[in-house]
Amino acid sequence: MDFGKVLDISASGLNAQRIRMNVIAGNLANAQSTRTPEGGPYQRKDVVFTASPAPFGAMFESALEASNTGVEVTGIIEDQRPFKRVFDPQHPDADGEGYVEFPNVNLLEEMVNMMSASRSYEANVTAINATKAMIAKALEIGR
Amino acid sequence: MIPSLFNETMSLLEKSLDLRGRRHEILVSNVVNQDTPGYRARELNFEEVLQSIATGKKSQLVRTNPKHLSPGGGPGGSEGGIVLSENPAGYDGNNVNVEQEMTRMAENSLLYNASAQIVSKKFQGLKAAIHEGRF
Repeated sequence: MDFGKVLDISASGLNAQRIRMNVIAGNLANAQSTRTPEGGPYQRKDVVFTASPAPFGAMFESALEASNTGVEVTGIIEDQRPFKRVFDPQHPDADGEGYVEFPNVNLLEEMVNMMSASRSYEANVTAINATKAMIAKALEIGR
Repeated sequence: MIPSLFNETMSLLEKSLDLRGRRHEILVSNVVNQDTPGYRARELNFEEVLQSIATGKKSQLVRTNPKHLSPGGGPGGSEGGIVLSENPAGYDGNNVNVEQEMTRMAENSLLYNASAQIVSKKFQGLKAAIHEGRF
């Protein structure tokens, strides 16, 4: 029984949720950005979670018994939904018909995602605290 | 009387601590993967596995050839008993029930602490005997 591994698994969860939070913050911050270095309005980003492909040692172990996996962000994808078209002829980025393309960021969706990320983060912190309590108790055996 | 110093109870408690720790690890990886699409939650049936150890019944995996790898990850390794959860999967194929996992984790760590406490008390008892009741 290796408690270090358990803490690593929890840490991978914290890390993944933090990256998710970063992406959400970026989406919220750029909800009105009509210009990006790549050209065009900002495209909403989303994270891809994958149960982490374990390193060789753990892979080998998993062939012998079901090994426990952490989580990993394996990619940040761009949302392909169409941009919001708003009629605003005064805007510098308005097209010939007076329409401006705004990012495909939905504030409501981002807020819900953010809540979900922060709750998941909390669950992982609780798991870490439980692990710590168990380690402390195990150390008490020798007293 | 030496053999009875660390008797069956002790080895059972040791196994219990090991299994509780293992179960904790499984619960943690379920919690960590609560947002991973397609992840299936896993569970270790603690009571069943401990009972099979206590009654001396080994798991179904048997080594039929000495050249084969041992099924349990070496001496004193796991006795298996890990099953995939039958919870209904959500729209992304993930079937982790966080409430269930957190409750199980709380229960599991309490019982781990209880086992650790009993081990500790057993050692205290031994110590008392060694010091003829004086501390």
